[in-house]
Amino acid sequence: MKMSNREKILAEGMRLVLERGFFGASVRDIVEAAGVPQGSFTNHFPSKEAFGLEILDIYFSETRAVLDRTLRHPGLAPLDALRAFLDANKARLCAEGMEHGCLSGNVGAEASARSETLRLRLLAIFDEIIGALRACLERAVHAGALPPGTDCAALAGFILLALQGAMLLSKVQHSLRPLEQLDYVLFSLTLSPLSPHDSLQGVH
Amino acid sequence: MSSSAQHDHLLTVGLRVVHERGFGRTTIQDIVRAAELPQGAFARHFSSKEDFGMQILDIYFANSCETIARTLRNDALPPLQRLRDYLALNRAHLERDGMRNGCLYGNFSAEGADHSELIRQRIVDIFAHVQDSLSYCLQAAARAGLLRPRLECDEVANFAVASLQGAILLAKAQRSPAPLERFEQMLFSMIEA
Repeated sequence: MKMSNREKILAEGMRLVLERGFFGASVRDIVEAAGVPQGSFTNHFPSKEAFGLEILDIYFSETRAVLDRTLRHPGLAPLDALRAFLDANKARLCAEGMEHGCLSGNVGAEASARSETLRLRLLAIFDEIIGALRACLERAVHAGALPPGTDCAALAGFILLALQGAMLLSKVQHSLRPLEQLDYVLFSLTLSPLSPHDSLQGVH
Repeated sequence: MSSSAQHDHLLTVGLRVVHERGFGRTTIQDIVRAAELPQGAFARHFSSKEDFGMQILDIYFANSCETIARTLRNDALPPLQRLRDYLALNRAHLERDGMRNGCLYGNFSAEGADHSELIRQRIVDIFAHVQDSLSYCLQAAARAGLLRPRLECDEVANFAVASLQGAILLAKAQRSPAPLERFEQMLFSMIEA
């Protein structure tokens, strides 16, 4: 099927923004890569910001699909669902090119200070991910896989920031190591069925 | 202005401009204009924008090293106090501009440092240095019996450096120090004995 100019701009634009950053990819670069006339961009997008919102939405629709088959999957045990979520992020980073990192994180780092519209959209995206993490952790507490007193909201916020940080370092290091370290720390130090101290002291 | 003063002035002003706008988005013209110098001044002091980028990283890194020497690597202080001081200084640095600009290393990373392999490698080396310093501090804490037994200090240090970048990113998006506070609180609850 033939892609419309709008689809070409979104597809090539997304690729360029992942490669060069939101501000690094100019409108001219985008139309050139898409092979469409310069005027075509302004026909479809009132501003670069409007284009930014659209690629964030496209990127996030894939994130939502990941949430549905991991954190929100009713058939998975909660901590397995969390592991599956982290694995899916690794797989996505590998598939899209590790050097590109996470679009939401990249745009967050670049655009938070300069576009209130993009910043607010990112906050909504981060909130939805934190919400899915929190619900999954609450299920884990309910199932006895985490201690009853676990502060699921705080832990969910922490996992998201740790994940964003790990993806940022993976991007610059061209390596999955930061995401693997995140797994180690989360699963051996934080998400222990007993209080962490009990579980380790038991080995003495 | 002497030649060396002009050089320093371009770096000081240029660092501020790059920190605000991002490296890729800052043109040489932006830099000389902000420095109120003629266009030709840039080429007199820097062989390329990459050369300029490396030099602003040197300045920023010298600052980081000073912070690290006063905190993480300061053997005169109790180990976990060093870690708290290090995080507090980072937070104070970020709060100076209301969390808007974040950390220069993180910004370079997010922009995709791939336009310059030299700069990318420099950022990787800088993160490695911070990780080593954090691990040094954690090892001192472990020897003092302040950490959970058998903690992998290197792994935790690498994790902490990455997560701190994530916390800075979220603090920028939220315009709030809350993610930095959450990070510190969770980190300590994870590692302390």
